Amino acid sequence: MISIQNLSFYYQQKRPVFNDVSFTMQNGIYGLLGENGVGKTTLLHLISGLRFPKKGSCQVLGYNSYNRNPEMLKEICFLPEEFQAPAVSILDMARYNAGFYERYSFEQLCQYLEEFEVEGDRKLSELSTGQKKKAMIAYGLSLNTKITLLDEPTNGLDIPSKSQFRKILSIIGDDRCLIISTHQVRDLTHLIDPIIILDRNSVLLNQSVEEITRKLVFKHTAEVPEHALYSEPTLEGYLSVCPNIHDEESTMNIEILFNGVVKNKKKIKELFNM
Amino acid sequence: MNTIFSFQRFENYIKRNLIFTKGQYLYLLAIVLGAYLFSLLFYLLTNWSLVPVLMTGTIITIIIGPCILEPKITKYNGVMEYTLPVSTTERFLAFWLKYILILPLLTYGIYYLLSVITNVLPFDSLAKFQASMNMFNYFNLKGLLAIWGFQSMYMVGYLTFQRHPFLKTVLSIFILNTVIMIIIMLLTYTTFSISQNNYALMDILMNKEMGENQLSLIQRLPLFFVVFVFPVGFWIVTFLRIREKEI
Repeated sequence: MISIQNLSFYYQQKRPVFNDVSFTMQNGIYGLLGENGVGKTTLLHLISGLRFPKKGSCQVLGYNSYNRNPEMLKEICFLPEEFQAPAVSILDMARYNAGFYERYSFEQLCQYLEEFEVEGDRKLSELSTGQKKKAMIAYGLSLNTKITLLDEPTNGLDIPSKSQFRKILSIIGDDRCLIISTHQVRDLTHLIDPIIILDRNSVLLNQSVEEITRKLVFKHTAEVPEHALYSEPTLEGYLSVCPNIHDEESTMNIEILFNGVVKNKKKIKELFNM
Repeated sequence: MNTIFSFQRFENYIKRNLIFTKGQYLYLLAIVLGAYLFSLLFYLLTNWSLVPVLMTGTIITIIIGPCILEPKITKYNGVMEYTLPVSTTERFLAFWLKYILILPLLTYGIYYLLSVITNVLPFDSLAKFQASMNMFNYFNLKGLLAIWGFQSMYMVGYLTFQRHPFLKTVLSIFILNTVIMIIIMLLTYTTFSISQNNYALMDILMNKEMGENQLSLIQRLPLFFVVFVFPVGFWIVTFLRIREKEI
């Protein structure tokens, strides 16, 4: 679906955001993780054609993203972290915007709005930040585009709404690619698969959960394990991530994974042949 | 072909834009009506017609419209706008039509309606006022070319300057005009005096009122270039700026 080849991008030439990175994305709910300023939002902008690569290419559904081909754009929905809501209701906004998207479903929009408990006929500018976010998420998901880009979707959502959001995501079809850029990984545990972790200028990890748990093991131990990539003290001892030497099965902890990857970049690249 | 232009998509886009900016048109209508009523009352009280001032103000608004009526493109509104499945051609045409056709026709229509209403009013003293509302005094070929020429620069300015597009465009126009006038003066061996209204650019082009200073066709060619190609060239630049716009 998305193919990035030898991509380089910078805002200032001395500080490149991406330097000759290559990776692909297929169907699935991708978790896009990284430290502040590594380029998560920039990557989403490059995919949606809002920014143009300085070198290399970003192909989306076979189209070069920088051309902003309408045939490509009608299969992409991008919900930014912050946005200026127009002075119309979400239903009116959907009525006049959704005509551009072939698989828009009014019924799904109403269903999502009901689950989020947002009134569809109130002007977006009159809603609170969280309510606007929920309305826009409902609108974005109801477009049923092949690629949906969500930048920090759970920021500003209350606890019940996060639960509703997880519930809605869990029934998204397998034929779609959702890329969720987030720091709030706990909100999306067990939902995001594969995981992409960005570093300055490069991609540290782009693997499925299955592959990650095959190569890494996450375990609670009384002491810090000898070969631990990262350990965190807990009430029960330590939660650590280590190379999976003995083919053990474990449940991935995204926060521990992230810290382990960021603190052992070279080792991770060797482990996953990147 | 569908990638470059689709009538269905274009129609949807125009409708969407009209709905989302209907407030602007309502404000415009209110301002024009308010200004008309004020100038009518002023005329009745003082016998001085403010209509030329009103018309000039309207024309200036149409010219600078792209910089003052369009919202500043930021990451907060640009994402939703530029990820809408619309081609660059459609985006450009919608933008171009709004300022070349829709706004001028709207204002022309309003003034025409007001002049008809003025004609119907049972005051003989309003005849002079009504006569001054003749739009053809302003929207003739010469006027349109001038409007389009300057307006096209404001279109480019809006898409080029992130901050203070209006002020920066005004400054750019001043510098550009100065440079062009100097070039024309050098090419045509003619001097212009700002105070001499007789030798306006278009009049020189048409070789009107030049008397002994008539220019040859070759000497007038740069003027043709400026007057006829100027808006078209900047419209092309506007198209390219939309295509290259990054958020």
